Amino acid sequence: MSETPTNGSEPQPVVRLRDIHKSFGSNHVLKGIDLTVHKGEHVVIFGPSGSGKSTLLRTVNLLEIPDSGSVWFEGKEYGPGVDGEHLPKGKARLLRQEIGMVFQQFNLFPHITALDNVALALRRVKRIPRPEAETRAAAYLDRVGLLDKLAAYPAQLSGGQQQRVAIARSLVMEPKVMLFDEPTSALDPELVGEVLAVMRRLAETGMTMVVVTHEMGFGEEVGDQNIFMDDGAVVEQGGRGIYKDAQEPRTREFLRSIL
Amino acid sequence: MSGVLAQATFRPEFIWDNRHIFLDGVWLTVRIAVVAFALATALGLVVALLRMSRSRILGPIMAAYINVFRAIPLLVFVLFVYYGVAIHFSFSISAIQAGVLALTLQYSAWLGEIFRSGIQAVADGQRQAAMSVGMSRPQTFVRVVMPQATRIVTPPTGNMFIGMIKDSSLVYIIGVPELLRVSNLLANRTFRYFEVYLGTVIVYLILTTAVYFMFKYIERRFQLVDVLTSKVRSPFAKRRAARLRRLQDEVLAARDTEPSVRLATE
Repeated sequence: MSETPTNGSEPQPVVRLRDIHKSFGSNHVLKGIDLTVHKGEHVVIFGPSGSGKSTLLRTVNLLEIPDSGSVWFEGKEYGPGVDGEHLPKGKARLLRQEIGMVFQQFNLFPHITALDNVALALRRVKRIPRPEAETRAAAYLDRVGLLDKLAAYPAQLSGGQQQRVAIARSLVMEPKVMLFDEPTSALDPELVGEVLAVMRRLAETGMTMVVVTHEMGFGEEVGDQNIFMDDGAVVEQGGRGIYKDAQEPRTREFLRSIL
Repeated sequence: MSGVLAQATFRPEFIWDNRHIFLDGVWLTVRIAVVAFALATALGLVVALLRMSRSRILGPIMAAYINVFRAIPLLVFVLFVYYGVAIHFSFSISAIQAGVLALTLQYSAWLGEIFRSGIQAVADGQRQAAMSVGMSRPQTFVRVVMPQATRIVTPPTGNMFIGMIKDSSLVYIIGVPELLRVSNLLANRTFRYFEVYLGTVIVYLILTTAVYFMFKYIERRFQLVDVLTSKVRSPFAKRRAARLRRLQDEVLAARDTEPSVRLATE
């Protein structure tokens, strides 16, 4: 069992996916993906729709259980695993408490207020008493600039505001990793900026992030590891330069088509 | 001849003079409908949950349950439960209990399908969001799915309750002295058919209208109101608004302690 050294200079892996395969019926969506996310790193995944990038992201917090392969998080194994390896098994529910996720469609709970959306998991998962949970939730709504909206219901908020509440809902659990699944794709163009600004600030604070997005500008700015996926496989990965001079013709073609 | 003519004269006060009979009947009607509906709601929820279970045995069994109880005419079913089963096999249950049982079984099938559709109408993203913050399946169901499904199923459930009040009249056939049965007896005794059944109609109309408004009130209660920005009058909403304003002040006061964590301006 090789433990990763944690002497500060070495980047410390937080999440490691190895040889992930996933099929829906006869549709082979992920064809053996490897991905290591280090502490404080910002991973940006891009590619055409149907390339499997969302499915890959959802594998990280086990909203999708891979057919085969290893999902490793902080010393424990969550997926089916890799042959010959025997790591201590973890519970998906506990992993999800430490990995936040922001969805394309926000998925706020429409029947409760913004404050209750953020406080719900504190109260029910972390068993924090209501007054304390509400204080913390309000502080996180303040962080995303929505303290004045704490009594509003999701339907009374703009898309950008809803997505910021959703970000607060995840952050309040103090996750070690944040996953973003096309967080601006469902937004009106003029609302994209406010959500990206929050994500950019979050990246600056050192949060470990994995972001699936079509916002190449975001990748150029904060992406430490930029991954181009197509047809269920990683075609190319690299630093911020990938957007300007990609090596693979398919990457270049894709970047040309969306710019 | 004169007798027939006399009876043809409409005497509306006849209804009022016999109000105690109608009241006795309607009291039993209300009790039967409420008890049977409460039982059917509880049973219907169980039926819906088992119907949706991934079990290869329970799912089909519940599908069959629903189809069987929905397929039998209620009047036939009431007769079957009381005379066909209870009396024939000497179960010691009263006619009222048999009637409530028949109503409960049939309505649990209808309500089960309504509840299932309501639960399935809650977007899958809701379950995923709840799970993504670490909630368990039971927590997700109780805190996220159920409250939303309740809103969806309230109007059709209200219709079912109105249906229950009307259908409870069918237990007259096994001698339960509810509103229809006492009306029949009164009419047969006095030959005042028009007055009697007019009274019966009016009483059912009042009952079902009351239920209609009751469910309209419940639906209105579901309206989602921002207590900080709208003019709310209820003492509960006022207390809540005051609490939330204190919370905002608290957060504003604490802002300066850690300014670096702010991710957005207003």
